[in-house]
Amino acid sequence: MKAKSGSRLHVAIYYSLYVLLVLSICGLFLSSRFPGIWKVYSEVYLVTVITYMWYAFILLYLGERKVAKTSRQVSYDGGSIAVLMPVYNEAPRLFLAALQSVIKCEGNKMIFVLDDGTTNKTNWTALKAICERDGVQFVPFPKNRGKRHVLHDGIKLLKKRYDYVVTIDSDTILDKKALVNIVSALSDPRVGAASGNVRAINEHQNWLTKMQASYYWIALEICKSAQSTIGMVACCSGCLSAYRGSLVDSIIDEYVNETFLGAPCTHSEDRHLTNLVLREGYNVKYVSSAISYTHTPATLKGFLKQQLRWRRGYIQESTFLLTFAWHKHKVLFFQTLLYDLTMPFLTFGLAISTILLFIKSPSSLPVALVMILLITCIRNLPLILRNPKKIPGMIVFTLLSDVILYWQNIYALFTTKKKGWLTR
Amino acid sequence: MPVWRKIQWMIIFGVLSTFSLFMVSGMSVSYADGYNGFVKDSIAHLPNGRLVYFSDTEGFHHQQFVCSITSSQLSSLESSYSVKTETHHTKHHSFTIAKVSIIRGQSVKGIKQIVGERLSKDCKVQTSHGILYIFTVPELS
Repeated sequence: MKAKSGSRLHVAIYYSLYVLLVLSICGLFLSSRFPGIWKVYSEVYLVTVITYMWYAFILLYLGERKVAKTSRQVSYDGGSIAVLMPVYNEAPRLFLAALQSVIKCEGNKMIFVLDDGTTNKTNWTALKAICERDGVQFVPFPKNRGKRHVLHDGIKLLKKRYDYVVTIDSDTILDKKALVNIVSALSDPRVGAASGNVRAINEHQNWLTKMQASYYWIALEICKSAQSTIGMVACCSGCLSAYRGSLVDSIIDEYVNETFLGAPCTHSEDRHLTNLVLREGYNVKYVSSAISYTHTPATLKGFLKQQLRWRRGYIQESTFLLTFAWHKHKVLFFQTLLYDLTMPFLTFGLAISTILLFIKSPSSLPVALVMILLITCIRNLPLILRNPKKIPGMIVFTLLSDVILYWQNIYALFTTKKKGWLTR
Repeated sequence: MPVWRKIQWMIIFGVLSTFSLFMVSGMSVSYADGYNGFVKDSIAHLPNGRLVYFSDTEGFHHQQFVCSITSSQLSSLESSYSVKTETHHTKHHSFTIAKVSIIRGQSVKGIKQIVGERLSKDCKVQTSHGILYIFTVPELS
């Protein structure tokens, strides 16, 4: 029987995160009476961090070596591509730029603009006119129901089966070769989906966008590249992703009907679709040469809202992944169980005790700061060596993570069920 | 793989190996407590032939103390704590070191009160810092 999101097992794994949190708080109280516990607790954590760094760098190295050894470049097989662009109340200027970039892309493609009930009728008329002028299929839906539904209905409305289905955001600018490069990864029959490279189009707008550009670089060129070596990218980003057409047809109904804790899911649709691909036993790859540019939030409020939404999805979908990964992708199972899910919650007590320590002994702060920066530099060595301009952004991101984003994990755990998209 | 990429990987794995060894050896040293080395170093700098050794861990600060004490202070320590005495010999002197262990319900504060004012003057303190890193994983959704 296939694992289902929202199943009893899924919910049980989700609630076990609360158990971890309780254990962590117990560890905090016990360590105040028995200092030895704190020592073991923190050192186990450090060993895990070091092990993870080795794991990621070895995978990254093997992936690069494999690419270098492959003399024959994987090329586009000329298969048909359906490009789906869901759009909702998008500024016509951004949408036009995105659409024109897709039109200019190489590949045997058909573009479908899926209007998710845009409420601004002036925008709607403009969108329609642009699409008709450029020979793009404009598919309007009368009511706004969210990206998940519009993608589902769009795929169902396709009059023929396309070899590949590519989904992009309505403000994403594509590089000319982005489409052919991303679907080339699917020429391997074991690969069911591929995720593209995302860069910040507004990188130089302010410190926050510069920070996010560094964050994207780390997430994609280190984390996703490492996962890609063993075909286990955990999330195909919504900005640019490609799926095998036949596979999408078989999972799309389940995708749209996802529920969790008794409520229909509205966020993290990209992560869930990736999960379903992995559950079917397919590999998921990251394609660095499939480049897209997206607008990143330029205000701290917007960034934090986006992060909270992502973290809720991260918890919901990572716990779902554990329900099937043991049978399909054991390495991914252990990575998700031990590192992605256990560590953020088991370290809660450690983080609290660190804050208490700073209050009690402020002189600890410089030592902590040096250690944080040292470990950040080591775990992001590829960025330091290959893209040193992004070092300041990396440092700001690390500090912001420790001061704010870490705590969002805890808040996200208690509010996973909340549906709000938060950016609209 | 191009030569420059190979060099980059040598640097990455070199730094990671050094860091791992440094951290793991740091941990094993702290588990060994660093007692002998610290006491030997301290003996040369402390005037009295009667010393006390104790340690205190608070967060990621680990402090070790070797202090000169009087016989009455030693008696007070022995009456309240588990004390194991050892004798160390140098070329010209011999030293008695009282190693104080703390059991459940006791605190280092009490030892510091007994050692008293002399703590700052006739003490050698060695502070080592533990580790700290708050978890962050960049992940795109």
